[in-house]
Amino acid sequence: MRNRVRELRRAGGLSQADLGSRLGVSRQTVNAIETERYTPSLPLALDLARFFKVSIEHLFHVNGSVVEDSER
Amino acid sequence: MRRLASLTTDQTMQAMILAVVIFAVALAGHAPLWLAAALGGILLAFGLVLLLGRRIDAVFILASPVRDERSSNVHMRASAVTANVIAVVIVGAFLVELFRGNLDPRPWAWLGAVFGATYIVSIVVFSRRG
Repeated sequence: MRNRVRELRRAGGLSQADLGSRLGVSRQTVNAIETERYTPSLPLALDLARFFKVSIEHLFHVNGSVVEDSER
Repeated sequence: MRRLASLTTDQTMQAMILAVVIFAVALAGHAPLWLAAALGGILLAFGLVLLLGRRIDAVFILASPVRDERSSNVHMRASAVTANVIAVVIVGAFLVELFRGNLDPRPWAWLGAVFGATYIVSIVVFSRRG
């Protein structure tokens, strides 16, 4: 599933290890999410959205279609 | 101290301890020294790969206890594939023994029975848990 995790992480000046430790996952898991090799569970996706203060729809998109996030 | 603690709990240290145990048990069982060394050496080499190859994702997952949902997911899928392969091996070996006329197909029959019973019980338990 395509996502904006890397974009938002870099904007926040965080390394993958930093983000992983904040969310309770390994650096490798963050990397796998960013490279779209792994789709996080709903709780982890919610944690990511809360961490970056964005909606889940803004963070993740299906089949390459970016969902318009009018709330943002 | 924290680094030592993490080493003692993960697969690396377990592999190294097992290497020593296997070496000692093989010698105690009067195995030739070269065989005991080879058996222990295989596990020792495995432990070193786990220790030195952590930058590789697969080695990292192998070497560490289950850290997060992704490593748990990978371990579960690997376990499922392993179980399927072992099931094929057990059934295959059982059939080979029957074909050879061996009317006592132990241990394959026992292994197959334990495998099947465990699988059925697991399905029952996990289906009830949701």
